[in-house]
Amino acid sequence: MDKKIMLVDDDPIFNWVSSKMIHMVDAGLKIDIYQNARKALDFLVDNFDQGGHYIIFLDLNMPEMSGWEFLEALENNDYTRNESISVYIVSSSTDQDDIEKSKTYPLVKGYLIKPLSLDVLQSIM
Amino acid sequence: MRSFGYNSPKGLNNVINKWTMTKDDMPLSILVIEDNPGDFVLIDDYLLEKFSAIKVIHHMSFEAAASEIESFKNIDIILLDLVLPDLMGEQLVEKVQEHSGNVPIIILTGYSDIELARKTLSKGVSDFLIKDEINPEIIYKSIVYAKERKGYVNQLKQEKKVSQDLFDFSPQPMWIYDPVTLRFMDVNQAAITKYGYSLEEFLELTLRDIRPKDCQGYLEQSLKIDQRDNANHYAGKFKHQLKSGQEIWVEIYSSEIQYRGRATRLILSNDITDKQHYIGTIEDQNRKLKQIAWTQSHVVRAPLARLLGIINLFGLEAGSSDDQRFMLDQIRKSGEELDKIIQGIIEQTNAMDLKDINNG
Repeated sequence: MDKKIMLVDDDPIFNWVSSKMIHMVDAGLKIDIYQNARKALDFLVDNFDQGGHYIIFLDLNMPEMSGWEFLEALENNDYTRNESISVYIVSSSTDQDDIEKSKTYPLVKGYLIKPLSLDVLQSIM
Repeated sequence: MRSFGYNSPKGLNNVINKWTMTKDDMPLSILVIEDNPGDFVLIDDYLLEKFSAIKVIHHMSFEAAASEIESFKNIDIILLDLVLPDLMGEQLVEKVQEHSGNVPIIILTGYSDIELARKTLSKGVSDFLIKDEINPEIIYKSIVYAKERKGYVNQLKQEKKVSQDLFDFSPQPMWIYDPVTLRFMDVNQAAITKYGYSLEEFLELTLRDIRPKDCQGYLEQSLKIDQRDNANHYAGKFKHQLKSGQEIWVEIYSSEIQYRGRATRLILSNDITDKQHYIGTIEDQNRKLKQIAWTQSHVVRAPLARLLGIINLFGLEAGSSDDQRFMLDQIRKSGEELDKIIQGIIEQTNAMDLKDINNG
């Protein structure tokens, strides 16, 4: 099964650090980086492959389209509301309300508080 | 001027009573104004027979008695012959009352003056006794009754004064209004001070005049509720307008009260303008605090998390010297310390349970 990693975060430095660390876990993984959640959404809708396995690391607080809006769009789309998509929220927010809210989305498999650690990444991959 | 009809059977009764009945030991000072020495001797005798701790003062004329009342204040009862050498009848009663204040007066009279004596009752005289019928029991009963009644009347006056004082001197504005015309019937000093209208001005106004123009509809609505429920209750928060035009927020308590023989309503008005203002300020601060909590959680922590991420990555890269590792470790420790501080602020602001405060 083809594993695809998507980093959705408006912070380019964070994306750079994250991709470095992910490659430390598995150097062969393909990582797509999106600084704009809408572009990530467009990509998924256009190129979604039922046979693939998508691991999305999703930031919450982003301009234009927030992580929540991205999740809503994914879950409202019959095509992308799919077992083959795993979303991990990656946020600097430690707000309990955010953590509880993320649990209401079936696509969300975990809530990770920034910064990411190698251990956490290893357990996900 | 008149003498008692004196017969022996009555006299005999008196003798028996002296030995068989216990005397009343109520302390008593009685002024007897009586010009007939014979009548006085009998009355004095009856009084001493019934009261053990009595002081009897005797005067023969109004003139003499008047100066006695002036100088001796502690007279409990005045026994007054309705016909004296210097004054008589209603005029006598009025003159004695001028001097005696509210000391109970019992009139002594003969059969021929009963009509006159009866009239004096309306002047505030306690009782009248017909001389020919006086005996120790009658005079005893009349005195005790007059004294008790005076105490009771004083108590009523006192209670009325207390109620009036509660209204007049209440630190919170109060008024009584006519539920039909909505006119003010009475207002207390606190209302006069708060609203700026004099008592005379208030009595020319209706409830509508202390409501701002845009709250008149609300007034009609709340009055309907007031009249329907008709009980004592908290009426709610209202906007009132002072004479100066300034608007204030008040809490109104309303209750039914009998006033001048009619069903009226008694209102207590509590100015909560400042309180409302404080609550508004607190709510505003509360919103800002929530904003700060959110900023701490999402914005301030973001660059720190990025910094810590880079440090993590840096530590994973091989090839650093011991010194570099030490320095990196110190940067990480400082960053983690800062993170703890931010987490602490977030926890504290969340612990205030801001949602509950807002809903309350």
